[in-house]
Amino acid sequence: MTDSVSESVLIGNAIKGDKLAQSKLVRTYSSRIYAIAFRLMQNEEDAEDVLQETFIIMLNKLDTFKGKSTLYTWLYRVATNIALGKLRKKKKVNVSETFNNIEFENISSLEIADWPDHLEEKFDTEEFQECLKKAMDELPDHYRAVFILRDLEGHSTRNTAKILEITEANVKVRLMRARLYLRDQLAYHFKCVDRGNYGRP
Amino acid sequence: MADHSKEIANILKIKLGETIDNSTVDELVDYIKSCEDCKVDIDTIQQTITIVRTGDFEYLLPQSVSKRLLKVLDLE
Repeated sequence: MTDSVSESVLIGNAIKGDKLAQSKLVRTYSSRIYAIAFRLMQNEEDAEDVLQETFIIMLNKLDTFKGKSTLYTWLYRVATNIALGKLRKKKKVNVSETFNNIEFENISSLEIADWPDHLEEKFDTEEFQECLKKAMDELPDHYRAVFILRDLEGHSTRNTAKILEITEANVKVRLMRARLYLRDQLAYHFKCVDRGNYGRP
Repeated sequence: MADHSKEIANILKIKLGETIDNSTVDELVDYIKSCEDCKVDIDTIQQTITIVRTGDFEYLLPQSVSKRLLKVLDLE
């Protein structure tokens, strides 16, 4: 029996109320769903809420899962939507507004100098980790979600578009903007660009 | 960076991580060789992705969180 067949049997049994099948599905995907929830929410408490809500929805709505995507993709979409909804409620828009004020034309016209060698020696410093965290925190949710799914989780453009329910063109544009923003933040940190020329505090 | 180079660099930034056909790859690689600014632009974005991946530790599911999840779902 192939994995997909055994999973469809599990799903069928879970829909019928088989606790063992339900438990098996939850245990199979909970780690990966927690990881994406944590990356999006940036704290344990909210990540746990997203995790619980995702699997509550899975158990209640599993009969609506048509098998057009994998269960993993379906759960990802549910978790991502819950996380993005929570972030919107939290009014994280304050940082997003700051971000949206950035002129992207200016970002892409930045003259970035080549980065110094042996950058890896800086990675372990608390200052660098703080810079990285701040840069990720400052990314608006819809840019961060695309960056996480594409560049950290390794999803294809098509899959990312399906999960976030946006067009592939939108994925590409958001991804480019997220990458440029993160690159420029790191460039500041490595002192490769002059902050004064960038128009940001 | 000249306007043409900027345009090419922007295309490359969008294509980074995408699957593109071999002839386009060859064409772009040739172009980058002749455009130092484009090379720096693309290299630093590629490095950014690598750096963020390096700093991004695995968010392991704590056992306590897993237990609470199963309890909430009545699957203990």
